[in-house]
Amino acid sequence: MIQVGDIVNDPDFAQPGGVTIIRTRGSFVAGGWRANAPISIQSSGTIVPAEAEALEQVPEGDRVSGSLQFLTTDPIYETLESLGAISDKVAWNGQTYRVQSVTPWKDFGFYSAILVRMGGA
Amino acid sequence: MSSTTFPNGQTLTSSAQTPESMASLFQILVAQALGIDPQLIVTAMSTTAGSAVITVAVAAGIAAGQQSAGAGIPAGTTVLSITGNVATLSQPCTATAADVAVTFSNAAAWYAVRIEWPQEGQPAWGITEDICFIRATPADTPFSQARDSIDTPNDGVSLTKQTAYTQPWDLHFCLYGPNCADRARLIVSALSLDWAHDALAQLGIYVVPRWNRPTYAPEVFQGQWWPRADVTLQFNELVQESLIAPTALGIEVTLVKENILTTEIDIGSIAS
Repeated sequence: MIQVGDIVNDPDFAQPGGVTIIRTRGSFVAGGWRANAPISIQSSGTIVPAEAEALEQVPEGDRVSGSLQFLTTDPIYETLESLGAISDKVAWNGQTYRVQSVTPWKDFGFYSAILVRMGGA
Repeated sequence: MSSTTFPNGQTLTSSAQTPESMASLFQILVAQALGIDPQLIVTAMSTTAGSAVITVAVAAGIAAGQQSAGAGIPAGTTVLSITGNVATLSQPCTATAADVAVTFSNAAAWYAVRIEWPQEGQPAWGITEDICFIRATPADTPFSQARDSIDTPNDGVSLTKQTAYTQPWDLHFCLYGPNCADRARLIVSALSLDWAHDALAQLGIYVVPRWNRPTYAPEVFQGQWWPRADVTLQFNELVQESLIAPTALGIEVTLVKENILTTEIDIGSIAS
């Protein structure tokens, strides 16, 4: 079985400075869901655009959307009840992105996540 | 209670609830309606960063196993033991502070009764779990148009303008789980009883006695039918707002006669 994870972390493809995964666990308390202080996890992998950054002009202002594909050997999660965590975030290139979907190619040594831009502006 | 100061220096204080605060109030009430005692205790505490031992101002009602929440306490922390006013928590505090608010409660209540629309979402639930979700949305009815005002003199140079009006609310209860229909029925029945009326009346909230019946419509998700029941009840909130405004200290009256001659009369100080 080919370990695609080797390619994901190949210096020719991988992000030189690495990538930070932000994991947020929490619990249900009086007043609703309460998130813990997020934990930063140093990760590595390859980031490629999934969808162009797009300008959406609404009367209230200009909003920018966009998405990335993140290929990594580290486990990355959407919101997971068993983990008591909401979807992971990824900090990259001065922006924060949220995990929208994960394709678990873990038998081939990697995970492929689609990340959506959170900032909006 | 919120306060807003305007450019003229006047401050408006309002008792108006927000969608979030209304949902939080009903989270407690609905847990009680469903027979889950929230065991909610609010007191003050002193914490030390790195230590799981805290000192509470009032210890009555605090018990091992309760969830504790407050600034400097990590989410998911529970009480391991309490001796006198000293409680040992399951996780160390992350901040050193004194006289900060802390709540102790039954975590099962908040797990079973959740609030919708958290900013970054929240974990979902299992198909066999009975969970109630609450959302509160302000409504607009003819009752909300009327405003009653009373001016009360204060100190000769200011008066308090007290205004009261009705804010209608729609409280939507969305229930999932094998017992969702019966739990929706129970919420409607329980909120029609005196204990619920008395608890809400203390907060200036009154049920509109239109006892809507729950709907039952399971929904398909990922190859399974998830039982779901919904019911919406209406409530009226008595909102009280007060504004401290300066009084008139004097007034000038000009009389205009028919022959165009005028007479000015200075009434002078008429401070209340």
